[in-house]
Amino acid sequence: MKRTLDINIAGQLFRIDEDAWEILKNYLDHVSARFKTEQGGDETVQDIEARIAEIFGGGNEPPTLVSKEMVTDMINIMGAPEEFYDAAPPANDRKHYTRKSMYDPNSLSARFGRALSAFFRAFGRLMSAIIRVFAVIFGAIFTLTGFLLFFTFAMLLFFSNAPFITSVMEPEIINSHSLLGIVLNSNMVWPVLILAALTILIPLGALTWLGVKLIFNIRERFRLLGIITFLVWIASLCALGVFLGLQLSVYAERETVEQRISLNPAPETIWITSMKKQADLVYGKSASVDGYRIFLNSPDDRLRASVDLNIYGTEDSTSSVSVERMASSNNDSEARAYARKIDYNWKFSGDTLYLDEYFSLPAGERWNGSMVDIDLGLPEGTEVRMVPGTSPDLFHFRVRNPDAGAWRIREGYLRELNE
Amino acid sequence: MNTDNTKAQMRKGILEYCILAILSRSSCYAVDIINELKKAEVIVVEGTLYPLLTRQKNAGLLSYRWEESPQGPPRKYYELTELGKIYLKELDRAWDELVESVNQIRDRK
Repeated sequence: MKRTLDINIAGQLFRIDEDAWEILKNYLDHVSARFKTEQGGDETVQDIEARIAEIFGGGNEPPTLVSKEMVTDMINIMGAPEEFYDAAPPANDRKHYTRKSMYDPNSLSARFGRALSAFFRAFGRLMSAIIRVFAVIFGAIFTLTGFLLFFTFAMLLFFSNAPFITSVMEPEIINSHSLLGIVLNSNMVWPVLILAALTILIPLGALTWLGVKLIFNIRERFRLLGIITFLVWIASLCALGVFLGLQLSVYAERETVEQRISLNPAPETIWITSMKKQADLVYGKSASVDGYRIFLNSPDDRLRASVDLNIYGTEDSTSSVSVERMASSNNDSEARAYARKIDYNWKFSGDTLYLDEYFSLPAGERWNGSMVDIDLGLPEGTEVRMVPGTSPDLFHFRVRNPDAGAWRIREGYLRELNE
Repeated sequence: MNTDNTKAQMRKGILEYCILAILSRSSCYAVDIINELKKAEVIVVEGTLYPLLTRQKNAGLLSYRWEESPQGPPRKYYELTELGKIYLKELDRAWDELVESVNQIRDRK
């Protein structure tokens, strides 16, 4: 195996085969001897060395390996010192000067320098390898996690009805697509999802590619593709912003229409029962979020949704029932009109509160943030009981034990009777 | 009889004049000058140029500026000084006279 040396020519680092170095050193000694006695001879030698460094392709990292052939080619280009015709006396007419080389490969300092250089090179390579290994591990973890999350979400959207998905996922997550269709215009769901995918996947892909380039030291060769991808991402982001802005602007204003009755005197025990039941509904599909259910695709094209019952203790002895119909729009008058159009029936008779388990929107009308809240305010000590066959769950009525069936207002809160 | 030596001597005589003539058009990097001289077959090897440039610079005919190079060390870009321009004009005149003299001698019947 050929031995190589590290040399410096005109401030440029080169690695050179030992046999090539012998020829080069001899040539440089001759050039030096040729001009040493001239005024400005050192400058001439420096200029020639700079040109030699350029011919050898200086400035490369790692340093260019200079072979014997390269040195021979360089001498053919530059010419031997005796071929330089000028006004100066010929070299053989003058005393022969031997230029002392700046670099003696066998000197102690050169050997020490080489050893030091080898040590730091090995250390650098080791550190580089360690950092790359860590980069690969962490990069892989973060990238895989990102893609996994994204594709899990995509799977849920595309295959929400697949048995496997329904068996392992919460219903609220599975019906994400239906919920999007309710919150957004149903025609806009797929464009929004595709734009969202581009907006998320392009930076994720770009980061992954950047990591791969850094780890494997790949030179960039796809500049045009990168510019096009960046423009696509910007366009996707803008389009997504515009679509979502237009779609969600209909929820800017929220209005409430309230019906309230006072219960005087408040009965000691209030019974709650259902009138229209969710169990009797005919619908194509439903979507739910945190117990709030929306029923879609009914034969009469009316959207229906569950109501929200809240029972609380009043600070005085008054009691009341308040039913709030709420809706949203991009202006308050329209929002109020939507709220008034919510069809919900309830009544209080004797000691019983009759409630529909759901409300309805007019045929063909989309969901406008429509909700119905029922607030039942009762004085301390009042008992609340569900008529047998009535489930508090269906009113989104949150108590610790829905099966208890009977509660009492105590210290301002609804508690189980035997608590 | 071999004319190579005579030709080489003739080229040697006009080399400094050619360098100044090239630099009178614009500032040049040594390799640009070499390429033009090689094209005109005035020099064969690049090493010839560097001592001449140094000598002309030291005589005040040329000056240079440094420019970064995309490959290798920074490059010297040479240009004529005012003295160099005057000197070149004298050489132009001398060259015309020389050509005329040679032609007169050559063409005399």
